[in-house]
Amino acid sequence: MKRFITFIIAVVVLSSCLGITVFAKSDTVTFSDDFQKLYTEDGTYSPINISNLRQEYIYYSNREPMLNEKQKETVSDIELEANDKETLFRATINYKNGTQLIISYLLDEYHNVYNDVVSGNISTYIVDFTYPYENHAEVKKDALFGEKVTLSSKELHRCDYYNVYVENSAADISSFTGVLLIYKDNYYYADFNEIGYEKRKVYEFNPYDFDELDVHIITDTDALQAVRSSEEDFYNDDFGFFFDDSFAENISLVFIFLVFAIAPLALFIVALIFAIRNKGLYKKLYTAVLALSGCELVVFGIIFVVTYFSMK
Amino acid sequence: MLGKLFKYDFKSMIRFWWIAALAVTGLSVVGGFAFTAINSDKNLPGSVYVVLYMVLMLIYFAFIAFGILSVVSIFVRFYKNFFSDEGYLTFTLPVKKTHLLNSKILSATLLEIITGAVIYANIFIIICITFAKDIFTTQFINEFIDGITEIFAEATVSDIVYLVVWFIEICAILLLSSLFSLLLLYLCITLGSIITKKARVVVAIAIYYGVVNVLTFIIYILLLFGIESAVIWISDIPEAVGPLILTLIFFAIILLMSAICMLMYTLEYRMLDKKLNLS
Repeated sequence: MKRFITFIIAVVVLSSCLGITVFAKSDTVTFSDDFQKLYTEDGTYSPINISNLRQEYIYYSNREPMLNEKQKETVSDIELEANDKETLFRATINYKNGTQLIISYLLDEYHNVYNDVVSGNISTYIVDFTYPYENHAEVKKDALFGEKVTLSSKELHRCDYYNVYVENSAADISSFTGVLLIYKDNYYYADFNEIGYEKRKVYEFNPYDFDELDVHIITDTDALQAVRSSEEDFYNDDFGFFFDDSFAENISLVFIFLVFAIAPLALFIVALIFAIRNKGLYKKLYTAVLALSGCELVVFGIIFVVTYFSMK
Repeated sequence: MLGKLFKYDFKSMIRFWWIAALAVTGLSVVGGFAFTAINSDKNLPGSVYVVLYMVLMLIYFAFIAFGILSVVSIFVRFYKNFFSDEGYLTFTLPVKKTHLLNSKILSATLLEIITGAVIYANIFIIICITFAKDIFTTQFINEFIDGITEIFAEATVSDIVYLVVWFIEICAILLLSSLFSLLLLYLCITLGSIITKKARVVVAIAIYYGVVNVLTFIIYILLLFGIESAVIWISDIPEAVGPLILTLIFFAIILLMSAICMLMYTLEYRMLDKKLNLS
């Protein structure tokens, strides 16, 4: 029996994170970016504005959801429910052709949409990057069940933490046992944690631990027995964050150069001009400024060169 | 002449400062005993605890007031000696303007240093009195000495050299920071006195307040974007060159701050020399 390593990383800070949301979806249904309209390639499903449904439920709880004529042709009924604290809102839409879609909104205390999850009797998966509160999908990767989804370093390094959410329709979510992350031939498996009412499974990891990542959703733990595992530390000293191309590190590099190179260079040039134009004591003073800023530029240059070659 | 100027400037600044220093020291001793009483196992009446906490609050504000007093002393001496009626006498003295400015800077810097020393010494007094039973025991002293000895026993010669160098560099950075804040204050006072003839002090304070806010914002942005990645970057540097890189970084900071202070000094002198008109 081959052994495997369970790897769980830091707790997600939901209010400031991107979420990687893995959805199960029908191969005949596609979802638009804002998750409020549902449409299909063959037009079977009608768009429904879920935000209005939510409002109607929250603020006019006795009122029937309003459907237009086109929606009434395909939708048999809509069941709206919320938990006692009205933090979770769920719409179950039953279509006349027998399919069902469940749309859940997780609300914060101000009834703003915190995160939304769409599920149904569907079998393929979407990996989404969504900003909580903004309901905005940055990257969407579709994959059939069992296939991997590859995330590049640029996609990974946009945020400090990520969640992998797995949801599946009304099907038993317990069939999803965990997530397998594959990084440079190292396999890391982590169990999903079930989160109460939503029956959502979450895996949390730090994206800076990887520069490319394959995500597999595992439903058969026996399959893991055949997966090679490794005990190697996956932190790679050759990441070279100094020369990483992620946005946040580029910005910080810009600031480091601004303080230690550009500002002293500006000081050097200004002092040079004034030292040339003045005489006597002022010339000496400006020459002193010139010398100090020039020395700083030289020292910073030495730091840059030594660091560059030592990290190579 | 610089020595004499320095002597009179310093004497003027500490005229009331030494009284405040003594008062703060006395309050620190009281505070130490107040902490001891609060931390003791005796069940004192509630009103006594209220009084003790009020004493500690008083000591806290006394420390703040003492720090403010030293800044005010520096401010008043500089303003009165250069920009009030006394300035007519000051600028007619048979000394160079650079000496006048240098004596102010040197005396103010010394005052800031000894103010800081007094504050830290008083904090140390409070700690010593509060934890006297634990500190002044043979066991603690022996453990402390053993700890220091162990650290130095494990350290190599290069470790000790780097530590000494870093200590000197950090002291230099702190000194330059103090000099920078002093020169900023002087520049704002001078600018306020040149711009307007009335309400010079108010204008000077307004300029100082505005500049400090802008600098705070810039530093906040720098820390927001720079510090985490800088820490990650430094931690990724191989161990062999890490200490050297850190030494060079400190040195670069010293050079940059020196250049900025030098520029501020030049601007200040230029304003005093060319722009000041007391009449």
